[in-house]
Amino acid sequence: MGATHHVAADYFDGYSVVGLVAVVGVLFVAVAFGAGQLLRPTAPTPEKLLTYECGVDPVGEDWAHTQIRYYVYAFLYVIFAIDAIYLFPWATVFAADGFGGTTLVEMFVFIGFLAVGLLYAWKKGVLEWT
Amino acid sequence: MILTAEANGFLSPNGVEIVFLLVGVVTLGAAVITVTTRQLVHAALWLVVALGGLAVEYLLLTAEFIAWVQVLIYVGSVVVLLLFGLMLTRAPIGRSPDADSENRWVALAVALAAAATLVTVVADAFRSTWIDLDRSVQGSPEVTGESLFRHWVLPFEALSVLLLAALVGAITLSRRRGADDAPASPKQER
Amino acid sequence: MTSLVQSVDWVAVAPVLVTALTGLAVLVTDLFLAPRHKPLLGWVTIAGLALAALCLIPLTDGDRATFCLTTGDRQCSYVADHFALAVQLLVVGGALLTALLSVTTVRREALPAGEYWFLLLSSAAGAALLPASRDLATLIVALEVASLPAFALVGLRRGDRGSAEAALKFFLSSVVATAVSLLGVSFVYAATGSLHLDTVAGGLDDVDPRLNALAALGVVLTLVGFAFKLAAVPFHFWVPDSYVGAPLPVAAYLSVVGKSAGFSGLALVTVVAFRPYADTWGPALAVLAALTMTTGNVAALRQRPDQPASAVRLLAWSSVGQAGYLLVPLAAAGYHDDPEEMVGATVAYALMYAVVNLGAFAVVALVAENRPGHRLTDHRALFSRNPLAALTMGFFLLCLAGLPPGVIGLFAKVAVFRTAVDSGLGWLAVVMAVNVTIALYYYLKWTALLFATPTTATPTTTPAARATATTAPAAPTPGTATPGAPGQATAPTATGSTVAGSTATAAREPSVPASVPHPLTAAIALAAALGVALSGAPQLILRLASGTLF
Repeated sequence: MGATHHVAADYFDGYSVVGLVAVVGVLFVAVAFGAGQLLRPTAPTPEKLLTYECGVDPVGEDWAHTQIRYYVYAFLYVIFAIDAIYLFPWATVFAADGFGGTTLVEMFVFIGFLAVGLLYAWKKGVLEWT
Repeated sequence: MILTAEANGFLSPNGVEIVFLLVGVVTLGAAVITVTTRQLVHAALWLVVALGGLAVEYLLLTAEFIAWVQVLIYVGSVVVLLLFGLMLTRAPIGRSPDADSENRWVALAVALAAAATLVTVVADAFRSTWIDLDRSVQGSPEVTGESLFRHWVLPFEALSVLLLAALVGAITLSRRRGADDAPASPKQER
Repeated sequence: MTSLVQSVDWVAVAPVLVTALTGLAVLVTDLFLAPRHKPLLGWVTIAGLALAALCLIPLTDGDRATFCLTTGDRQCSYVADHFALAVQLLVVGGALLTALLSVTTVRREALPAGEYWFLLLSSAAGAALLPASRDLATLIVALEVASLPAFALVGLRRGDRGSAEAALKFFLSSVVATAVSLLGVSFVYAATGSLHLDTVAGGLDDVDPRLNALAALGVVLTLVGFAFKLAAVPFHFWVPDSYVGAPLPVAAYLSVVGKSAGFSGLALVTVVAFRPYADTWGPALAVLAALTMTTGNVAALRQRPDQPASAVRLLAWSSVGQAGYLLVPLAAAGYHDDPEEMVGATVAYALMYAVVNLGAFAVVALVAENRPGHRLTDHRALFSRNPLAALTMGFFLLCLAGLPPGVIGLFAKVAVFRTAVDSGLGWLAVVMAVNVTIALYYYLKWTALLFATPTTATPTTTPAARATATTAPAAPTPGTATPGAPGQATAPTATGSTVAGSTATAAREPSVPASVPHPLTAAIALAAALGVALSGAPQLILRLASGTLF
């Protein structure tokens, strides 16, 4: 396994590029908005401050009270995100010498349990959008 | 992994250490704004900054896998869950004058005391220990996977029962609430 | 190519595995089962738990270990020693009795069957895994597997605001406690570099002096999560509301299996892993034990018998008091030269407590068949209505109090008491003695209430109880109402006259069910049989209190 571990120098080099891209991205947005702020004329009227709704005057409040269904979807997403997280370390080792079939089975037991959860959600109609 | 200070010192920081400190300051600031802002949705978005900052700190400590777990699970899905949770309530967008509870000074005192204790103890314990970042990467998915599937299979499989129970429990409770609340007319709170 | 993965001893993990797989099977079956067949799921659960209990038999040598490290010293994550087996027996047996209690509740309160049984089984699987786990990661995961389904179980009652509030309170405080525990574990790991309990003990033995404060803080914080499950005193405030808000069998389950998760985790962490820091956790546990038993017993004393759910509230507070007794041997272990010898007294006491407390809950459920208020005053003159139930309840209460003929309660208390004396904790022994006396008062008051004469108020009841007794319609006369006698409950002529008689005499009471449900009768009979057997042969569990279990 030792050969596949990367060395720290390469590691930081690789991520410094990522960091650079992130910094450039933040700067791009900041500069664009900052320039717009400086260049544009500022003359607010009450009409301009209204929420834009296809040219019609907005009706009701700006805060929509969502259904619990969205929350259940988000919760399913969290559970399966945790599931997916474990696939990454598994994918790096299961083909390596000494792990083989057992590790494959272990992962499928894990996924199998959660698949039952998905089956449950489906049979209970949580996934249907009425 | 832990070395005593010989070649290291506070006066000659390297690039990684400087970035670590800067990101740490940003993370702390975002965390403070999260708990002090009066706009609930803003609080959730500042939490994204705080959690993201923490992910960068993990990356800088070469805990690569944990860093991406932080991004995928916390920034990616827990904050989404939090926002949907907020939208279930009748909290308004914009300032919530009642966002501060009477207990905030007690909370502040408890938070400060806890933080003081933890920071003192941890800083005191690891004052002169350094993580050697120049060796092979310690927290990569390969290392994690090897350790997980060699030594930690039992908690890993137990975790699948935990996740399934969490899923079933949450769906059961939310279905019941949904069925009960749907016909009832929404209460007027404001 | 050598294999790097752990080999698994399937026989050793069978009790946990069977429980978890039964849960999975129940959940899947529920999805494809017609509603009229749903009651079957309860019996599948009971069969699964019985099978899990049978799986303990091949393990009685107590020498199996599995999920061991493949490198270095062979530290194992799962050890089926005598401690693990005894606690697993408690957990599986407790869950079995709970399941018997639940069969009726699930049907009557229209709880979602598949979910209920699945959550119960997965929680039991977690609680069974916990005493066998020998590393901090498995311990924490098992603790969460045991408690997370319990939150949902507490909140399962349909359209009940109290139930939802209880579940929320329980959930939030428990999650905070687990988070604190995790922080403690991370400190311990930082100080010792290992999660396996034995290696942690070795690491703490010669910890770097700079890391001393960190390790001590980690030790204390780790205990918080387990103390919470045990409902030790600063962490007990969720107990009364959760027990009252939850369906009754779930309250019974929390009071027995929930506590077993707490004390077994505490025992493992303190006696095995944190042994070198005995001077840190020993006094802490001793103070916790004293506070817990005093608070629980004083609060139980203050329950007013005519309040709604006062019977459940009293059992809830008394379970807090009993948790204090469970902590005594663990605290004593901190002062004793041979700490492992002390733990057995806790396990023996917990086994006794599980049997009689579940029995007491079962009788409360039986009384609630006729009078669903769970009030203490509903138990008034139970003897004249249902002599057998009253006698068994009296026996259970005397066991909890520690008086003959509840011999086993007495002996278990003596075993606990002796650990405190042996390790020089005289003051804790005194506190315990005072508390046992306080507890005598309310247990005996309840027992006296059972045997009170139906019409006239006796001196044992409070003025408030007397007031309700006179304003409420008079209790059924002895001749007409004997519905719940175990074994003879289904005799058709008897039940016919009961229905007629009680609807005539007490219009406020809901109609008496045609027969007391068999599972409930079975649960009471089983608990009573176990209690009597243990009182006849206390050495069955007191054996655990002598010698080491590890």
